[in-house]
Amino acid sequence: MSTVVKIENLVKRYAELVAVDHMNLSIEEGEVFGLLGPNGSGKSTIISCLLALTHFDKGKITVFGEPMRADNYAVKSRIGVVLQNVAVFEELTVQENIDYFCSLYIKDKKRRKPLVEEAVAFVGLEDFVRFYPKKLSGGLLRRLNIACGIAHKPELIIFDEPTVAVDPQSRNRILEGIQELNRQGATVIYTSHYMEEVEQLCSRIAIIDKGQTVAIGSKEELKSMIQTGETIRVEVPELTEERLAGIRKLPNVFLAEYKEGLVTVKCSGGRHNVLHVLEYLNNAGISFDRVFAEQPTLNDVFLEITGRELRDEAK
Amino acid sequence: MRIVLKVAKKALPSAFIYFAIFLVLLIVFSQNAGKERETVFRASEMSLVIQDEDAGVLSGALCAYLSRDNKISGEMDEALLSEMLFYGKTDYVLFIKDGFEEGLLAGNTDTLLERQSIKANVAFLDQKIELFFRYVHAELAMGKSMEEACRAVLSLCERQAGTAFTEGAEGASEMAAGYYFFTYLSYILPCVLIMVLGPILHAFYKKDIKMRTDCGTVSARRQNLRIIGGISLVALLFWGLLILLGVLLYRKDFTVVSFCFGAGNSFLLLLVSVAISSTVGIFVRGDDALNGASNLISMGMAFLCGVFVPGELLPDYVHKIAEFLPVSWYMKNVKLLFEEGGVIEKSDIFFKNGAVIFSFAVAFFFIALASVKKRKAV
Repeated sequence: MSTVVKIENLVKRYAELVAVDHMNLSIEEGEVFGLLGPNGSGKSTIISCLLALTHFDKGKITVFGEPMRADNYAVKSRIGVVLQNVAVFEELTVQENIDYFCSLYIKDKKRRKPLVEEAVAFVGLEDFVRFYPKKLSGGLLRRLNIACGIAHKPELIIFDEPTVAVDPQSRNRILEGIQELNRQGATVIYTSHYMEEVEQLCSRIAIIDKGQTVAIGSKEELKSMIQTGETIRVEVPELTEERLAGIRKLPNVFLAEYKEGLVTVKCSGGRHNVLHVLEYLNNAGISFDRVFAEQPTLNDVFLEITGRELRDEAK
Repeated sequence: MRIVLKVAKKALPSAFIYFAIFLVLLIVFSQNAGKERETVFRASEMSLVIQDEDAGVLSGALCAYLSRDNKISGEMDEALLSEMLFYGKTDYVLFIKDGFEEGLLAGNTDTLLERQSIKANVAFLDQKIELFFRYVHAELAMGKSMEEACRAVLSLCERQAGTAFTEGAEGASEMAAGYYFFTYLSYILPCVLIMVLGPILHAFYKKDIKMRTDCGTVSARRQNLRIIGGISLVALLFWGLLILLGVLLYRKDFTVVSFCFGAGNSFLLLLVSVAISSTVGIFVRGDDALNGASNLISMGMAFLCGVFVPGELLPDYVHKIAEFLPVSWYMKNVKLLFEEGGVIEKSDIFFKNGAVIFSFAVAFFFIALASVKKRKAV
């Protein structure tokens, strides 16, 4: 496997603000690489630098083994881009839009025609080819945006938050489409602040905060980096401080708190943690209602590393 | 290029409306072209009641003098007079008291002449009466009798007042219909081009589209050249259509040479209009804002440069401001086209004015380029 993208010591400043702070990344061929971070963490700036849309202050970016520059058209022709905001011409139909953006890479109209048809079929817009964008729903517009970015069959596709403000049905379709593109051989860079999407889609993930990579690896590797192995929540109408202290002494438990009728117990790995907690409550004669057990999420990873909730930041 | 034309199609309905306005203006002004105009102004008629107790030569002459431009009613009782004044049935009541003529000779008319009115617009009538007395005094001072003096003053006042409409040296009212064609072209060209080219530039330089296009393998220079080529084609098509209209409707008003000069002059204005439209299109967002900018720029220049109002009627400071606007130089050339002797005799002035218009085009073009760079930097 060869390295498709290599970012070394990248620094990008906007006046006093350091948007990207000595960032290092390496993305391998065939990967679906996720950039996960809250809004304003620097994900889109990294993408802009990577596409040579903006100048950076320091560092080096190599794509397909060549330095990335605004005039390196040989490299640009191998990259597909689906930006965060839908960028299509309102005055052109669906088909004309895809053809126009494909023409930015392929001049020959005859060569473009089958590629445009394929892109239309890929995103499922066959019934809308003669529609103007303002007649399309938000989900269909996003699909058009994707078709415009992938029609020229790029080897590296960059998706910058492609599911923002999209209904669940279209969102699933988009995610399935990205997986399919990856199966067809494309390397994918996917930025999002939706951790569920990144978890579902990406083989490797970089968690970004304040322009820095705070953690990088597969989702399993990331989750293993933190203390939390399992989070158990039990609905308990009444619980004394003495009993709560008892829970804290159970094997693997490193945190237990009681708030508004809910006991939250965090365990660091180990087995049968739920059983231990329920046994303790039962033996102590404490009645309880519903029980929830969760494996750690990327939000837990973000929380433990940065001390802040990814979900809250994303709002 | 094809995509530029497709985007331009969106603005065609608005452009068509302005084109229709242009046609209507042309037709209206063409029909009045060369016709004689009412050039004499008269005082508006007022309703007067004169109570002449003196009944002398002087009071008779004054009545005759006032009756030339006003409606005079005879004597009536005071109650009726008050009622007429109150209900506005008469504008002015003049009491000429007994001994008025002797009073004038003694230099005292104030106590012997009483005026009543509830309207504010009778000052002009007061001035007329004072003027009459001054004329009579002047005639009497020449040694004439009262009868001779009054006759002389009435005869003097028979003559037409010399107030006439200010005609410019060029005599716009006598211009041929073709003059209006080239004159109103200076309004319609920037107006429609801003409306049509604005959306094209706005579409291509919209932040998201620009970013997306920059990701492609077409260089920024090539992209700009494509857009410039597209808008130039649209502008040329529109200009060609207008010139064709001019040829069809007004060919009798021009020689081939003068029409070519006129078309050349309008081509220079086309370049300026394209450059202005480009700057506006890059900065102004939204159809309504574009519409407003189009009207503000084209109508503003038209008014300041004497397109709608003859330049001769505009104050000097407006002329000074207009010197900094391309339409003003365009209009100078349009007037040259219709001057006696033709444009060929003054071709040096024509070309000098043309050079100024071209300089404006170049300046606006650089402003447009700087705008593109500024937008990119933002």
